[in-house]
Amino acid sequence: MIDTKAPPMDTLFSPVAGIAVDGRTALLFRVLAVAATALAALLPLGMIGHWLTVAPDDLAQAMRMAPTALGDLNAPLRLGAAGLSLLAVLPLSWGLVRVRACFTEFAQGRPFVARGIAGLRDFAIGMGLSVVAKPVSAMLLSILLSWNAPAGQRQLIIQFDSDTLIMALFAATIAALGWAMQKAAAIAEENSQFV
Amino acid sequence: MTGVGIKVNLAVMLARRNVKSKDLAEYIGITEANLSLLKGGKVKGIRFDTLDAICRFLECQPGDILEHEADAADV
Repeated sequence: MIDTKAPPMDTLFSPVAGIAVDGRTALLFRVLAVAATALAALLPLGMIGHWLTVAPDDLAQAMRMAPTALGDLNAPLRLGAAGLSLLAVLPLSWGLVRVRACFTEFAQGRPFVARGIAGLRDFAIGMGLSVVAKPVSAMLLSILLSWNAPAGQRQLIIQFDSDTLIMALFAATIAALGWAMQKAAAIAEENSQFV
Repeated sequence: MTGVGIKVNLAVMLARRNVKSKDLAEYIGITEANLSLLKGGKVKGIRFDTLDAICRFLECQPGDILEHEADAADV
């Protein structure tokens, strides 16, 4: 009898078994996987490095703050600012680490396995969290940096620029792609059970 | 048994025609493992071109391969 509730087929004709991927494409995906991992590590390190070395004038210009509003940029303040900046960077780094699994599966010719799709979904989530955290981080930074400013010069910056909006749209697009891939995986799995 | 009431009689037909699974699998263009799953009814469905190839090779009708058992689905 045809058992419709039979467990999934063995890997002989399951999408998990993979499809043929030419060498150049596989190499591209492997490079992307390495790049994602490297970027995930470099982003927070770069951010910390920036805060430890940035000149006060450059910082005032970048933050659009009056130079007089910036207090003394001592080491604890720089470390605190780096910590706050990491609020927006760490979710993105996590997303980049997770998307590595997606590229690795692609390179091995398995575009529809759950691990890869979960990686793509987590990348979108990480990017989305980063988008949400970015304005909060900027606001907290402005409070921290102007904390020691003279009375009347403390600042609260609320920042929501076009870059953030584009990043949010990109995150939504990636999430939609992840959803579509999940549906495609389900169809591929069902199709694989037809002989 | 929680099947849909379709019984696969491929093993019986292979025995009647004295045909080896390997030869049929080769003719259809599927692996012996997949043919074995089909023989055991462990698949969700069968493609028309697969059924066509089986019928041509075994010189039989689809009804000789598949049989509906009304009570089986209710078991």
